[in-house]
Amino acid sequence: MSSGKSSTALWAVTFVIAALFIAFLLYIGIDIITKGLGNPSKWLITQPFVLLGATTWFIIGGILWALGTVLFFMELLGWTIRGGGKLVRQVIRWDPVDVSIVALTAAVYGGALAATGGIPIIPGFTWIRPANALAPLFGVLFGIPGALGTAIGNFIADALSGYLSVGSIGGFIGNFIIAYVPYKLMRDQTFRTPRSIVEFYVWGVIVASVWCSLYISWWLDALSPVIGLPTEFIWGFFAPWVIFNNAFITAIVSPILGYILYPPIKARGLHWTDRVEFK
Amino acid sequence: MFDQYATLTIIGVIILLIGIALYATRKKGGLMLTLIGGLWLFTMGLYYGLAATKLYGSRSILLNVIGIIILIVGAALSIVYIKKYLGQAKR
Repeated sequence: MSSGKSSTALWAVTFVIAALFIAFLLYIGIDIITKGLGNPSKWLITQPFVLLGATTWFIIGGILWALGTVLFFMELLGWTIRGGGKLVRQVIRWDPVDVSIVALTAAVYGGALAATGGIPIIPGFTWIRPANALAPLFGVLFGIPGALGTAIGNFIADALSGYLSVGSIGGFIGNFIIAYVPYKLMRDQTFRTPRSIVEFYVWGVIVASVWCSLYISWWLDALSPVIGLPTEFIWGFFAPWVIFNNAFITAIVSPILGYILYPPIKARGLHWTDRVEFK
Repeated sequence: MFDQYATLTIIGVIILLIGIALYATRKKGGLMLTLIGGLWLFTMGLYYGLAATKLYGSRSILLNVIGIIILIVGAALSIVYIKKYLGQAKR
């Protein structure tokens, strides 16, 4: 009886946390609409970038870029970090099922991004990408193959939306990171407990969105002589916008999709925990 | 002048060739790299095709339609293949 009550209380707290988080993101969205897309320096979400300045963010972004790049190659080469910071071998089969999972997630993510590109899902927000909600889920459900599919899917979407450039290499690994962070750091990936939902908000929504944004922004800034984007645009518009764009949709849609998709994927033996071994 | 698209194409070709070489020598990860290289070059093909038809960077609804086609065809083919492979594995 008391365990039932404490469980209900935990769920209530979780719903309050989720509701507050979504309300905060909605507030940021309303703030952007009222101040106008042409005034990014006035947006609430841009203020940390204005206060600390482009140089500071370039340094922070550089550290996250280096860390993200090392993790990306390490994971693809079959090494990973487990509990206690131990470096261990991970055995991903890379059999036809894993390869199909990469193709599936790439097609669904890339196709969905392109299918909804330029469509104003929310009035005034033509750049909102509803398919962003899939990226962290693919990591949590399929592990590295899902994260890799997410990276390729974003690359395909760049070609269809007219944003393909060497900057897309940053987008490739940046989107891998969105999927990788919750896959690696969520302890309960079932989307069926208060802990799982709170963990998703911390790792899948906040940390993944910020890391992805700073990763891509640093890459765009470092290559600005080639790509041609001004530093003020990258840190004063692009970086805060990508954080908001990812976090907004992910916070609302992903936990619901995760709740629906986890059982059938787990039942068919496609969940990463059933397909990866650690040595 | 630095050609971004030629650079991206060369990267795709290198990934594909390494993947094929690893796959041919039955090394692990060969299939994965071949797939990455293949999809990378598929993307570059998509870009060159769109650029040639002047659709690249436009706001044409056709681009959304291509996205829907990639989503449906890609997902359907992958699911059919996964089901087939899992069915074979059970037997």
